[in-house]
Formats: sequence, structure tokens, C-alpha cells
Amino acid sequence: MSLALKALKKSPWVFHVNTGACNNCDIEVLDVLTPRFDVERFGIVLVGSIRHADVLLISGPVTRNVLPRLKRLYEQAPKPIKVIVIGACGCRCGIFRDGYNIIGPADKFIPVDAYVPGCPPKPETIIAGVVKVLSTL
Amino acid sequence: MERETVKKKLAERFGDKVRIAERSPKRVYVYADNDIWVDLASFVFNDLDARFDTGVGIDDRDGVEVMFFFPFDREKYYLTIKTFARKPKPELDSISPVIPGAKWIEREIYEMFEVNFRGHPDLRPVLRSDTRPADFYPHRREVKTGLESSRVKLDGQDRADEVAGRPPKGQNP
Amino acid sequence: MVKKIPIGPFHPILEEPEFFELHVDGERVVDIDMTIGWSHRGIELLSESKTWDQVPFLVERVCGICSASHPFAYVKAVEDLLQVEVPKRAQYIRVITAELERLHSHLLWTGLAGHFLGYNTVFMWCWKYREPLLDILEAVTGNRNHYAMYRIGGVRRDIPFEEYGNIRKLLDFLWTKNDMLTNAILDDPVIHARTKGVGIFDTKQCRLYGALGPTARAGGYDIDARRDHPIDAYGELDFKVIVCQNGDVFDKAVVRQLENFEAIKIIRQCLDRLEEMGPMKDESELLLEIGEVPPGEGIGVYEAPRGEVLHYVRSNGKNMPMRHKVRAPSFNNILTNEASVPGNSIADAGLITAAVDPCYSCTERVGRVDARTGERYVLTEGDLIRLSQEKTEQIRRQLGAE
Repeated sequence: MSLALKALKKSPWVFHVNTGACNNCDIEVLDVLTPRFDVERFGIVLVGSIRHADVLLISGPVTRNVLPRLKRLYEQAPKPIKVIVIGACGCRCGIFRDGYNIIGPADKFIPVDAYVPGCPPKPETIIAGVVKVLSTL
Repeated sequence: MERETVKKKLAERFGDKVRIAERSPKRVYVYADNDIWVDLASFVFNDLDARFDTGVGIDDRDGVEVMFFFPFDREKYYLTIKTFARKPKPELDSISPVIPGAKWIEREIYEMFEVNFRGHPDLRPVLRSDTRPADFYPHRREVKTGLESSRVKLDGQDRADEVAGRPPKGQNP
Repeated sequence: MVKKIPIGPFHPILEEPEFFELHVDGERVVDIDMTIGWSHRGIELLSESKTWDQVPFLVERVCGICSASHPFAYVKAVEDLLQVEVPKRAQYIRVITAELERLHSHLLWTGLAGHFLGYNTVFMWCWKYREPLLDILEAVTGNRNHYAMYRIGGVRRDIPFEEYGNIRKLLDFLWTKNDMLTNAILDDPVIHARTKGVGIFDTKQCRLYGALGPTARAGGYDIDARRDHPIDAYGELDFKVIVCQNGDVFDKAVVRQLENFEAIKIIRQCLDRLEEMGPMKDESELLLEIGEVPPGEGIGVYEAPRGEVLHYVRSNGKNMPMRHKVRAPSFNNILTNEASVPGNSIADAGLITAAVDPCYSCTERVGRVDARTGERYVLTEGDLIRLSQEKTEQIRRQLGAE
């Protein structure tokens, strides 16, 4: 395994983007950092810029307003990057499927590596999803 | 201000241009003509000392019904003022010069129903994305949004009738 | 020169998140321009294709943090249309769920405000104390968020008699922790220096802009929908409404902290009354059977953690609403930034927009226009947090040196 991949597996840096979700998945993602689950002790850190990220977490059905920014974000991300969609909205737009401002789940526009279903998925599920993706490296 | 006093003052000030219906002890609805709309809103907000809450638009065959809510907190009831903006080009005077808090809700009613608020300082869509077509007014029944087959159907009794406290057809413009 | 814009955490409720553009002169903000609509999902139109009983599941997902407020206001709107009152046990259960949610939401805000100011310990502690609360909610309702407890005519499930003891233990625990947090905030000189006098929004402006919730109460505008338009069991419960005078960010934090105590008091009173009623005997204590919804209209109002939530429904006798209006409190509160941000510095602008509590990091991007040269920069959320934390550090050094 190359040094870069080893480093990636050891402590992935995560960038989170919300494409029009109700924010519940987002607070569950933040919950993962807090003392009960505390993934920071494993080196998993939430970063403020996509350029430093190894894993991209997407939540929410993609609204029309957000799409150009989502695409630009994916282009700026350093490859290889693993993309994980969180929540029922990320997987298949959830209950908002027929909305006039929703143009589809994220995997219509960018390649996705893992889906974490739930509304919202519990923090344990999110951790399990990230770990499964990383173990495929 | 007490409910009965409010009803009396409104009747005194506006005469037959308003029709007052009381649905329950906590809900009073006032149906007004278009031309006194700003005067009525300003009267309720300033002279009767109500709080401004928000507004709603409802699409209908002949026009768009626009209403604003003014709660009286100490007396524990909601006063709603309603008017009807006729199609094909629904327009109303804007109340945001009097009540700045109404700016965004009027922009939203414009964006969803195409009601032109005359005198609004900045009437552009508040929720629109740049990629939606310019004349897409989602809540209008004439516009296709993909939800037609599942949406509730309207029939002749669409506008809630006397059961809801509305004056019967023929009285309301 | 406009830099590339990374996307940050968005805003949850129906009409938000926002994009702010500040017009600056040096370090002072002269004007602010707001764009919202990133999370616009068209929920009001979707409601018109759902039956009356399916709508609570939809409106729950308007916002994940106040996810008991919207269904509560919606069922009250339909019950206002029908002019019915739900059974007593259902009323107490509704109030308990709603107040537990208020506790979780205020703790969340305090944590995020702490993080924004540079007090990461506060952030970690507040979110740690939320965990037992979310466990109780899961034991009682089945999910940590999105409780699905509210139905037209009552609630969906009962709180088991055995859980009352656990809930009481949790409330005692939260009372002591909230006490500690409140004293920490009220006594810290750096927080005083950082938040007092920042983003002042007084009573007269509250009235003109229609501000709601803690944003209004911090400025001396005495409104609270639990007391003014009491629904269900709120009419017979005893609690205080917290009102402060100055309208700055400090007062907004104080209002939220003190409201936690009131929420705990309310839940204790409801549990006492439920214990007097004894265990549930049959399902009719939870639900009133509703046949169909006749033509009419109804307004439902509830005091969510962020302010008053208003739902309006219009029916034409069919099995789906003809019109359903959802008005979240942040729609009114974010507009108040127009008046409270200008006159402050850039480092404070992020704090003021967050103090309105638009549910989690409101400013994912802030645009900055230099009023003299017309140059445009874009600051990211990371920049804003860094600026804010640097300013706190500066103040701390100054106070330490004195």
C-alpha cells in the first residue's frame, strides 16, 4: 500500500455539504464528533474546505439552487475522494421526491461510493458507513 | 383592544367596504375591498395596536386571495384581513412602506402567485433559483408542476363558504 | 476579485439558508444584502397532494431541530378548523414532547455559539449533555429526532408509566448542568466584552419587523405564544416568560439559557398530572376519532424554540388540504438582520446573524463589498469563525493584561 493510501486510511478528513436538507442529518454528523462517539480520537476531522478533504459527505435532496455549487465543489475536490450520501433524502430524495425545486438525488450528478439510509441515520450508522467505505481502499 | 371594540371601530371607520365574520372566539376574519387595503392594514397595525405576523396567498379560479394575520396578544385572538385580487393581472398595493416586516412575505406571494404589489421597494422572487424559468408561478393552478394528478381537485365550492364564516357569494367581490 | 466559493453547512428551515453580502467601509458594516432559498423544497405544494393524516410526516421534515414544532402547529390548525379539543392525556404528552425538544434545541444553539466564539469546551459539553436527552426521546418516541408523535385528534403513542422515573432523573441532571452553563456565561468577562452591545435590536424595531421568539424577547418585546395563545395544556401550567432589555447578543443567550429552566418546570408539572391520572386504560385517552374535515379554514400557532410557528390550512371538504401555509419563525427573524447588523464589525456580523438562531450556521458564505474601492471578496464560514475566534482571543488578552 502506498504511503498516501496508508495515511488516508489512518485519519480521513471529512467535508460535509448540505444540499437542501432539513438539517437533521447534519446534526447527527456533528454528533459524531462529540464526546459520546468522539471520532476525533481516530483522527477523523471535519474540515472547512473541500481542498483538504478525503471524504465528502452529502446530505439532502439536491435543490435547483444548489446544483451548480455542488458540481463545482466536486470539481475542486482532490481526487481520489470518496463520496458518501447520508439520509433518505440523499439516497433517493425521500419524502420530497415530487417537489418542483428538487432535481434529483446526488448520484445523478456525481459518482457516489456509499449510501447511508435513515431519517436521520443514527451516528453509529454513519460511522459504520464511513468505515465500510474506507476499508475498500 | 377587546374584540367587540375592534369590530365596532372597523365598522365605523370603513363602513360597508369591510365585512366582518367571527369564526370562533379566537378567530376574526375581515373581508375588505382592494382600494382600502393599505388603509386597513395601517389602521389595524398602528391605531388598534396589533402585531404583524405573516401573510398567505390562495389561488382561485377568478383571482388570488391574499390575507394577512394580525394577532392581538393580550386579548388572545387573531384578526385576519383578506382581500381578493382579480385575474388576469392580480395586483394590490403593498403594505411594506407601513410595515417593513411585510417585505419578504409579499415577495413570496408575488413569486408563487404573480400578484403585483404596487409600491414595494424591491419586488423580486425571494426563493427563486437562477435556473428556474422566469414565469414559473408554482402555486397557480394553471401552471404545470408535475403534481397535477395527486393534488386535491377544486370544484365549484372551492372558496370556503359560510361554514367558514365567509360572506355568501354575491357579497364578496 | 471574487474567490471560488466552497459550500458550507446550510440552513434547515423551509426558506433558509442564506447568502449574505456585506457592504463594508474598512472594518464596519454599512449595509447587508440577503439571499435565501437554498433549501426550498416546495413543501407547501407537496402538502396539497397528501391526505390530512400524511401531512404531519411531511412537515416534520421542514426542520430537523425543531421537528416537533411544525407538526404541533399543523394539528392545532386542523383542530382549530374542526373546533375540537383533544383528550387530556394527549395534551400532556404533546407538551412534554415539545418541551423536551425545546431543551435540546437551546442546548444545541448554546454549543454552536460557544464554538463560534472560540469556546470549544462549551460546544463539546452542551452536545454531550444533549445525549441523555436524545436517549430519553428515543425511549419515549422511537427516534432521536423526527418523533412522529402528533396526529390530528391526539398523539400516536403513550409515554410508558415506567419511563416517568427516567425522565425525572434526566431533568434533575439537566437542571444542574444548565445552572453551571448559565453561570459560566453570565460571569465570564470575555463573553461580556464580546457580546454586550453587539447587534442591538430594540423593541420598536421588533414590532416593525415582526420579530419572534428569543430574538424579540431579548429586545424587550414581550410576546410568547404559549402564554398569549395557549394551546392544549399550556393554559393551566405555570411558567415565566423571560424578557430582557437590551436586545444584544448577550441578552439573546441569556433568554435561551433561562428558558431551559422554565421548560424543565413545565415538564415536571405535566408528569405530576399524568401520575395523578394513573396508567392509561384504553386508546381513547390518546386519540379523538375524526371523521372527515369539512370546508373551512384554521390557524395553528405554537411557540417553537426559535419563535412562533404559524400554520394555516384551508379545506374544501376533500381528503387533502386545499392550501397549507407553513411560516417558520426564522422567515421573520432573518429579515431583522437588515437592522441589527449594520454598524458592527465583520467579525461580529457572523455572530449577530447566528444569534437569531436560524438553526445552525446561517452564513455558509458571506460576500463582502468594499464600499470605497468596490472590490468584492468572499469569506467562507471558516473565515468567519476564524475572525470571530481571533477577536475573542484579542479581548481575552486585553482583559488578562489589565
